[in-house]
Amino acid sequence: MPSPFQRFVDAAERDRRTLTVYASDPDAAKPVRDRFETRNARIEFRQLPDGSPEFLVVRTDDEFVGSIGLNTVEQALQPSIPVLGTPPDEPVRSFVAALAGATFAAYDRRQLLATTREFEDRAVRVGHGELHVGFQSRDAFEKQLAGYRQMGSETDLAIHVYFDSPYPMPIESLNVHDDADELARFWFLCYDGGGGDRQKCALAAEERQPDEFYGVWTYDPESVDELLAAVRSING
Amino acid sequence: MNNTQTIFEGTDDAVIEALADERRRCVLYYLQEHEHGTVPFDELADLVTGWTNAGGGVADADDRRRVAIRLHHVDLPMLEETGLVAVDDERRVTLRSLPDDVREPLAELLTGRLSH
Repeated sequence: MPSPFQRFVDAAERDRRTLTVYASDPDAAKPVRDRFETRNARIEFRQLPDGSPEFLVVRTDDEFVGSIGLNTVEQALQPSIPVLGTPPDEPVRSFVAALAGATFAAYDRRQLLATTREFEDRAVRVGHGELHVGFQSRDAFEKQLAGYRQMGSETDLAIHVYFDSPYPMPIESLNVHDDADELARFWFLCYDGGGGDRQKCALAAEERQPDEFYGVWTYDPESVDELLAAVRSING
Repeated sequence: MNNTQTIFEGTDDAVIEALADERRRCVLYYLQEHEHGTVPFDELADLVTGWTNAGGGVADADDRRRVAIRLHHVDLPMLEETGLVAVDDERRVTLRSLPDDVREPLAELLTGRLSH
C-alpha cells in the first residue's frame, strides 16, 4: 500500500495547474504570480501585442480548465475594494475561487522549512493535541532533537516521531515509532489542531533528487483528518 | 471586410478572405511572434479561446472545444490553402510565409487600431 503521504503528494501533483498569462506587458503576470505561486500552480507568460485583449488560461497537464479576462480576475481578487459597476457574477467568482485550491506546493526547500517551522509554532501555541512528525533521515531529526524535547516537555502536545529502524535510545517526552517504513521516507508533519478545525495543518515533502524536494501542504481540515487517520492506523 | 480589403489592396483574394476573421488573424500574429513560427495546435486553441472571450466572463471547456473544432475544420485549412501556414502530422502549426505587405497591417488589425 502506498504511504498516505505518497498519495497526498501525488494527488497534489496531478491537480497542479498551469496559469498562463497572455498580455503585452510581462508585469501583468505579477498579481497572478503573487497570489497563486504557492497555490500548487505554475505561472507562465506569453507576450501579445500592445492593445490586444489580456487573459489568463488555466490548464492541468492534459486539460483546458478555463480562460478569463485579466481585468475580470483582478476585480475578483479584490473583493474588499468597492468596484464601480456590477460585481463579478457567480461563474466568475467560483472560477477565481477555484484557482486557489486547498493545497499549497513548493519545490523550494527553504519554503518547505519555513512552513514546517510555522506548523511547529502553531502546535506549540495551541499547546495540546497530536503532532506526528517524520524527518526523512536520522540526521535531520538530530538537528531538531533539542527543540522537540523542549516542545515535548513544555507543552501538553503528544508528539510522535517516525523512523524506519530502531532508534538507539529512548527520547523522553516523545513517542518514538521505529518500524514505520511507509512513513519514514517522507519529511512530514501532521497536527490535529488540538481538537478544533482552525489550527489543523499537514505538510509532506518528498526528496526526488539529492536535495531536490517537492512538497505540499494544506490547512483543509478534511485532508488533515484523512492523513491523521492513515498515520494512526499504520501506528496500530 | 471592406476595411480589410482597403488595407490589403493588391493582395490575393484568398489571403484577404483568410484575414477577414479575427480568429485567423490572431493565429497568424501569434505564429509570427512565437517559437520561431511553430506552435502546437492545443496552444493555438487556448489562445483563440482566451482572446475571443476575454471581454466576457469565463470561457469553459465547451467553449474551447467549439473553437478547436472550428480551427481544425475551417480556419487552419483556409490558412493552409493560401500557403500562409502548414500543419504537420503532430498538429504543430508553422507559419510559412507572410508577405511584407501583410505583416505590418496584420499587427495593427489585430489590436483593433484599423478595424473601425
